[in-house]
Amino acid sequence: MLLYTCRRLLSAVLTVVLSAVLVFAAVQLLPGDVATQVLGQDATPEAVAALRDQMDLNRPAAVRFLDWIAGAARGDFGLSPVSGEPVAHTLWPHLRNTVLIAVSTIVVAVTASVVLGVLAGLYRDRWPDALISTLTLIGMSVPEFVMATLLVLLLSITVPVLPAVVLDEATAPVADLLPAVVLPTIALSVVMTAYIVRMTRTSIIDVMAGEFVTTARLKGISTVRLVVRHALPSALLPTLNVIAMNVAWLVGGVAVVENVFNYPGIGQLMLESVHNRDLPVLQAIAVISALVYVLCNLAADLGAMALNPRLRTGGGSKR
Amino acid sequence: MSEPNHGTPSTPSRTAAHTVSRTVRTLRRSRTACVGLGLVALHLAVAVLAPLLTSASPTANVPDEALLGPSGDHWLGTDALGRDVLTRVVYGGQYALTVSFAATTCAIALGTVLGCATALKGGRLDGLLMRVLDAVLAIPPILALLVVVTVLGAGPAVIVLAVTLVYTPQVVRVVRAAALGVAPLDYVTAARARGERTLSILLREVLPNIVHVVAVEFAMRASWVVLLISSLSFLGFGADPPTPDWGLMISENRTAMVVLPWATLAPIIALATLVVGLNLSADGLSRAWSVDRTEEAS
Amino acid sequence: MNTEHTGPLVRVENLSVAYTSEGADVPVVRGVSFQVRAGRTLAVVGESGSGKSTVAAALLAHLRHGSRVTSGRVELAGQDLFGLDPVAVRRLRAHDVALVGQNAGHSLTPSMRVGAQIEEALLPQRLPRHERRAQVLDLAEKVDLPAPVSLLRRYPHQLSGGQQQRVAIAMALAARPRLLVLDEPTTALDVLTQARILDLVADLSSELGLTSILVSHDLGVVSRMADEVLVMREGAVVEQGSAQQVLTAPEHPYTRLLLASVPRLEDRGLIEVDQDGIRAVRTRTPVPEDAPEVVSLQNVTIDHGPTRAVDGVTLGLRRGEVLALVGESGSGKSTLAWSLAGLHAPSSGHMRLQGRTEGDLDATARRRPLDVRRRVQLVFQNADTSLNPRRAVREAIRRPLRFFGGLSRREADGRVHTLLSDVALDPALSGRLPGQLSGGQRQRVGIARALAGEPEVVVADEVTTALDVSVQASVLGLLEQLREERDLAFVFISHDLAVVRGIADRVAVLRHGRVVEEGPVEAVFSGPNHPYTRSLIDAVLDPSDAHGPEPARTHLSPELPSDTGDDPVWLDLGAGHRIRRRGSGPETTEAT
Repeated sequence: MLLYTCRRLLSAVLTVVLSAVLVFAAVQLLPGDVATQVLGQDATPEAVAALRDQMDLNRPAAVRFLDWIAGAARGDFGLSPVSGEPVAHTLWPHLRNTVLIAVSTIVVAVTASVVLGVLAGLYRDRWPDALISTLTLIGMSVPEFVMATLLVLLLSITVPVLPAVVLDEATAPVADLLPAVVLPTIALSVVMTAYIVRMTRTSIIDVMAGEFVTTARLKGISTVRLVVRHALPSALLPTLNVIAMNVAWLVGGVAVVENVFNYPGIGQLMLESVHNRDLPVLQAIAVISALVYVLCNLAADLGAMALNPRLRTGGGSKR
Repeated sequence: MSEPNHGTPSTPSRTAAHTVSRTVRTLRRSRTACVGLGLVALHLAVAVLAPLLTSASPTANVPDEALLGPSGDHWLGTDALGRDVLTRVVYGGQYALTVSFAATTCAIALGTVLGCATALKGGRLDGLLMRVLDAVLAIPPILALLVVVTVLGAGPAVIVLAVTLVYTPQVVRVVRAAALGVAPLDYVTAARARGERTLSILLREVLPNIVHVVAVEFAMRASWVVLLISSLSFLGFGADPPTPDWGLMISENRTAMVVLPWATLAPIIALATLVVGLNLSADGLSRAWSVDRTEEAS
Repeated sequence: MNTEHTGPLVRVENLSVAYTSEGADVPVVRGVSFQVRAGRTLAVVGESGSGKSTVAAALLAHLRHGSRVTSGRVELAGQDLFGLDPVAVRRLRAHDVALVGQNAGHSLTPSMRVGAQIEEALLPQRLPRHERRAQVLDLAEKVDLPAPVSLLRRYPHQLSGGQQQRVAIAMALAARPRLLVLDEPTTALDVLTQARILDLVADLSSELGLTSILVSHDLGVVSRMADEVLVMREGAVVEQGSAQQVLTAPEHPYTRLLLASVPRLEDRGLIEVDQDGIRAVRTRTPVPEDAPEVVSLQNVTIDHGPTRAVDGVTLGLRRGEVLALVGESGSGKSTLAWSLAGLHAPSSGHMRLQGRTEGDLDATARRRPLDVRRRVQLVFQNADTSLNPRRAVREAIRRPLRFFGGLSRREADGRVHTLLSDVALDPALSGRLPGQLSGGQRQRVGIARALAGEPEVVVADEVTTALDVSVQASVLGLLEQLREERDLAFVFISHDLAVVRGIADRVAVLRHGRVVEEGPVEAVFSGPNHPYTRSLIDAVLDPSDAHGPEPARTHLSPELPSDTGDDPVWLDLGAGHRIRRRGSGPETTEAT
């Protein structure tokens, strides 16, 4: 099991490095000169040369990559050619703000979706299931920017209780940002819940129809015990992966929703960087996203180990 | 023992007809799939027949008629540039549908080929490919898309390419899982014992038995692609401004939402019904064919 | 439900169950009535689709999703089970009826320790915790679980199949039920494990005075356990009575057919059963003395990763001969068969095809010359998965014809019809998809597909195991007929010694990847034997030994001759019958 954990960790590190290579390659090796990309076509040759110098573009890509990844490992993502400041200076406050939304979304969405999914699965084909499934379908079909737009219409304009747009700086204290977190959280939670509910429902139905749950039911134990002790551990196994995937999706979904609310998070920074062609910032965001993805999957694997003794005890002794 | 006697004998030429009749039976059984495919078909028809449905131009500015409410001439009113909202909504599906369809088809085709091949070949190739795909998966789709668009520009071809790139790994995972489910079955073993080539096993034994998984995946994936592409347009990186596109329309008109709700709501409804249609199709088909969609959200 | 009740404990009256499919009711149980008095064991017997498991579940007031009772009632101690409210149903299951399911590997919750699962069944009795724990330990000892204290802390996947079934039995007994329902309790187990579990259940039944209902397709198991027998077919009861009467003097033709179709250890050949259920044993034509060897195995060893599945097997197979490979699961018999068919290369040793075509069989199929490949063909155990569900019967058979024979499409179609007739199938079935065929028909298509390559050797891997007993008899008859007509050599893999007795010319008994005994079928079945072979033969249950739940009989076996000869590994009894000496092979016994 220790061996398994080590192998899993190693493969996680490898995945992050590999994604970093991909991003680096996409940004630096695709047609066009990076310095020209950053400065635009009308830039003077002198300016381009100066930037090339500043970005070390005259050295081989492989060397630059190694330098960059070594820096990234220490939290140093280089200088932004647009602002001239270290990337990390702008990155960390934005990241902190996004973590605020992400964590509240995960807490809300995971709780809601597991509860709703189990309900829908248990009341399969009856009204609670029909209601939850319909809501889920709508949640899945309405893009997050639409959800955000509608929420603004409802809770900021019609009933003005929450701010529609954030005017704070990225470095504003957390307390100031808290009211602004609510709407993005709701918008993202609705979409995320929709996906997880479906998985939970399907897997609860599968497990509840399975032989061991039937056997337990025929022992005459209570429904609560049946669900919590017998069905849930197995039913949550496939759900775990979906949750991990969705948490990774959040990083993308956040970009759009932050844009709607003008929330100073990582998504906003991402769009800004795209507009400004601030490629080092984009690279940094991509690597951090990959790290989040890998960590989520790692967490899901550890969760699976906790739920499935077969993974924990390293296979059967007899079978 | 009496042997059960159901189904009718058919001749070889009818195998194709058999498949068709099976599909029809499936549809008759699943109302969900019917409604879903119906919605998608409706959207396709509207997009194709747009010039016949409305005589107004979706792009011409008419400053005099800007920001009108619903009326007999403009059923859903006009936008800030005086363009008829209904006309723009009718035309608005063209961009999303074309780009989504092309991108989904590419991703599914590439993903199916890679998924089947890696499942059957296994070994080192499989390990390597899955590692690379995992690395691609680790980058959020929208970010990957934005990076590609930043570097290569925002043309439809680039977006198709980028979406293919972003979603192929997910299709590979789903198809690979399905193919791995079929690979150890005895009829595949029988083909291996005959010494058949991998390609032949793939085409004769494996593919026919995962076609339904691929079909469901197509519908499912298409709904994701539509959402992604409209997000991109909403952010200003997809369709270019005069083009009628739902995502773009929502973005353009949402500031005036209080005054002119229909200019925002109409494209929202159009977009949502298309995605609902795709989701219902995927749902209905997977239930009718009992496809395990454990991998759907990956 | 503690009120005193007179009369039979279980009373089922005119019970009908149906499920709804595409708006129509499909009956699964039709008007079944029976009674069981306290302390008795009733066996419900039937082939697949007879509705026997539905009846069993109904005794726990349980129906499968989508099914409902369309008429009749099920009473336990005078109480109508389908008239109970949910709370009463739970009380019923917690106190009065318990179920032991078919496959304990699937019926135990994988995420809970087995001790906790047994303890759960004790919860309704509201005992203090330490008393409950003591009872769990007590139960574990009662079902003979080894080292119960540590074993109870394990998870189901860490137990062997037999141990899992013992846990399931302990769990069922924990509630001190008035009625125990056993649904195919030993079907998923090896023969030796089955024998031990049946002994356990029989002992516990008499010790605790249990009333039980045993559902089984296996008439041997039924004769071992039952006082009374109920025979079902297509949802209805065809015959019921005392075990003695039903199993020795059946009245209904179907019961007679069923009983006659069961292969017995005494049969010196295959059985033929006519419409009235009269059985006749076909005399076997012996393989000619001078029949040439077609396959020879020299010291074959096969590894699956770090585990050695087959360990130094040397065997020969002559033209027209049926060689049976016998053993329990994990003995390596299937691995050996798959290697012969070219699916897994041996790690050492030689396999050679001789006769009309010569060639090495050491390589996997793709590396064998086409002509060698076609001469060795495989028939699978499970006809459900051996045919591609999307391809019609014609295409399944045509493919090897075109692949091996290079026939044109039209020629191949013609041959398909001939081959279908050869396996006694109507050529009109050639357009059907596998899903539209019965299990027996599918297995015949699998055989026709193997014949399409015009093989000299057919490897048959448990080909009748998944079939109902009446279908099994006809498929075995077909194999025998093909052997005679085409001079085919068969490697016949089976765990069922009674089947082997009927069809094989020679037998090789495998254990842990090694041959422990090999010889002509008569010699092996008359003994003397390796102790392992003996235990396998003794574990075969014969339906005509209907004497209710009494201790199993043991066959008289000749003593092994005194140790002569100088071969350190084999004891040679002459005429090709040889037995591995004790101490020259793995002697571990599995704890169950």
